[in-house]
Amino acid sequence: MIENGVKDLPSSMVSCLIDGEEAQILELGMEGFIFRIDNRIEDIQRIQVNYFFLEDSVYEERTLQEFQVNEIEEKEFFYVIEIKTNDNEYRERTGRLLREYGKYITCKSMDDSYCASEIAGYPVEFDETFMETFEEQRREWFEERKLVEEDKKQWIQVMNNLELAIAIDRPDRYTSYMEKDWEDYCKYYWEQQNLEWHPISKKKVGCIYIGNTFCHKLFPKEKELFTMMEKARNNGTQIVVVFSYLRDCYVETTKRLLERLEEWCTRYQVVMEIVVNDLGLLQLLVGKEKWFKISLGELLNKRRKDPRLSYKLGYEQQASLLKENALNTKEYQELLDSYGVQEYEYESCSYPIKLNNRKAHLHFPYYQTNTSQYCTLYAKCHNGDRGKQKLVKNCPYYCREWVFLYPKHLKMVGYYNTLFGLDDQILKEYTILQAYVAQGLTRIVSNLL
Amino acid sequence: MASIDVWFGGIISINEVNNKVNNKGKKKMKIVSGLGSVDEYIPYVKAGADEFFCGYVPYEWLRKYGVFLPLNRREVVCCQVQIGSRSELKILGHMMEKYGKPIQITLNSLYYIPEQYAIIAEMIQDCMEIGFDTFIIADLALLNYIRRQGIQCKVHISGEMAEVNRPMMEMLDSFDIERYIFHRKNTIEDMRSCIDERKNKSTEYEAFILNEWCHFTGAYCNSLHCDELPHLCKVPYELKRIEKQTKNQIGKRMEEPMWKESQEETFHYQTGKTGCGLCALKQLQKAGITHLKLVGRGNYPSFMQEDIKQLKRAMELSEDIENENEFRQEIRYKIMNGSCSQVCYYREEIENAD
Repeated sequence: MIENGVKDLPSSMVSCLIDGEEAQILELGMEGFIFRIDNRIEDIQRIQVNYFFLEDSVYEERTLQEFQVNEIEEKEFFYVIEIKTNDNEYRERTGRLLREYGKYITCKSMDDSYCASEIAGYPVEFDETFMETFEEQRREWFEERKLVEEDKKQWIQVMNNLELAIAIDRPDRYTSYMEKDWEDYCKYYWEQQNLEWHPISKKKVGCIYIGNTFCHKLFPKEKELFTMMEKARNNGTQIVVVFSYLRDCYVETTKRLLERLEEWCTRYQVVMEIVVNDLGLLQLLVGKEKWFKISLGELLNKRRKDPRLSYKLGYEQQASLLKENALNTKEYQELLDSYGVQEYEYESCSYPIKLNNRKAHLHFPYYQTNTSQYCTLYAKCHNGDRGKQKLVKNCPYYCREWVFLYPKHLKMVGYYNTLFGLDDQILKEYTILQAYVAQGLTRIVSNLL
Repeated sequence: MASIDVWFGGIISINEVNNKVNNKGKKKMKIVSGLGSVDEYIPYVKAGADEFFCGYVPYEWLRKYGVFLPLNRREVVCCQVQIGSRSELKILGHMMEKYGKPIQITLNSLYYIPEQYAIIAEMIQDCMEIGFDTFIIADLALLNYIRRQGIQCKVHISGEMAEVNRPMMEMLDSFDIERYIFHRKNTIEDMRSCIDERKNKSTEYEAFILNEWCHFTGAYCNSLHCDELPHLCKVPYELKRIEKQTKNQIGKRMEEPMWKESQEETFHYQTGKTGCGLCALKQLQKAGITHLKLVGRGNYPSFMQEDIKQLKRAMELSEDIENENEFRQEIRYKIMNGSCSQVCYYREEIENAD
């Protein structure tokens, strides 16, 4: 019997090692604790208690200096053992753990925002400030900044080492691209975003990404695609065709499209870059390496991305863990090599990324955080509720007019079926791109929304 | 236990025969329930669950990586949502041995970092020694790694891996997959198409049936899931225009008052309150689904037990009633007591059918 013991604490918050064997604590109190274990232990030599302190987001361990094994109860599948101790450090840490856990439970039972504010210091009061339109939001995000001459020089220098691409990724852009003269289109592209002042916009665009990574409904109609490809070829612009995830019902259509793209490449004797965001598409491209250079897209380049990362408890201590992902693994790279993947699409996502040792392209300034194949915007506009979703067959392109705006301080937006965060630092500090160039980055891709 | 000899030379129990094929000759689907702790196994078995999935995160992993780089997608510390020690896993193993309802270990993080793959491979081997031989995997790099290491565990492809389509399955088949779990946003038509093409394979197929419908897709959800901050999908948002002036009025309905989106948090039990596909049971079975996923690691155990019982009742209704419309009516009245949550996994199918 543990006096004032607290039962059912999560094992991730407190656990114990009994002679090196991990076990679950069932009840924790200041005088001791009760744990269960699968086998009978006759003579316990060493007990270590592992605590998780939420406020510092760290684990701390305490080896008990003295203890008594008070009672052992045999159950059908395990043994329940009571430990009593006078270890002062144990008392102190147990007290702290119970206080912090109690605070967490109290906050959580109020509501999520209160908990975020009390536990993580998240500025919940800012969650009430929204912009009126996305245009207004963009104007604020991309407001002109005066650059000193030295900075301008540095930007030019870093851009000299990089190819610049832009994403032409939705119906209104397909139309504008086809209608406008190429140079006018580029000018219009930066102006529309209020970024015509930025040194990146002065660089000649050498490559276009046609198609949408995140929404299958935003892929151009076949005729539009080939018209754009013809135009790009005539302008001497490099073409990258971007495929999103592949719904099973579109497998046959996609196979036919790949055949036509192959024919086009054969006719002009050009190799085309294809961005793949679907494992099935990767499979469909097996044996087609002659005309297609495959790049692994952002949806398959998975990593932790969230505009609130800095509010996560323990972020500073563990941020370095985020720089790598599965693509830095030799075995996985070899597997992707065997599928003909030669290039990788990365996103600039507010912390430094370690690129793998293949050809890398960096999309900026937005990064995807969440995507749904059942369009969230359609659900909201059509059904009045973002959660009332289904597969959209006839898309009315609500995304031409509507977006989900988020609290201003978060620097994020819900565009079509996806949530995006904004990494505005990459537009402010040329040193970020410099560091990527040093890692071997060859191309940046503007994914302005 | 009564048993009968079968032609294939083995002996299986009458119960097993009954479980595999129902009285109308269709394969009976099995209930796969989430498990948040050892204490839930026996009550859930008694409630009618056929299989389980649970996370296992040893202290060493937590100490090193916390929930920044978690082993699975239950990325919290302050709630009991998984097995937290090797000893607990052994206890669960003993229970599994007695009750015979298998448990899969969930390793469904979207990615890991290079140093973690060897650690996970070692962990899988340790779990196999304890008696757990099936793992739910969402990261292709992990799948590739363990097969290259020669680890012969059974693998279920998590619904969090990527879009599921026929060529994707063809690609993954080379990794010897026992089961594919369709993600939350697969249509039943797509499931059927995938399964039909693979009729000569012995693969199993699992679909979501109850709880935790998400606005976004697991495979493409890269944001934080932690104790101290709400999920990014729950952060407040407003539907706004891109520009102030618009020429066309697309979607006039948008001008109408919006329906109330999030219901007030209530703690009473309601079947399918956070996600439900019960109305689509018959269609799922016809499509060839063999297993039904009941999500809820970390939910109140009493709610989960009720979910299992309700799902079982719904499956019985599905066996008894041939007509699909009649079946859906019965689900609404007998299972939902007339108060359907409207949080549908298979909205399209139900709307088309209605």
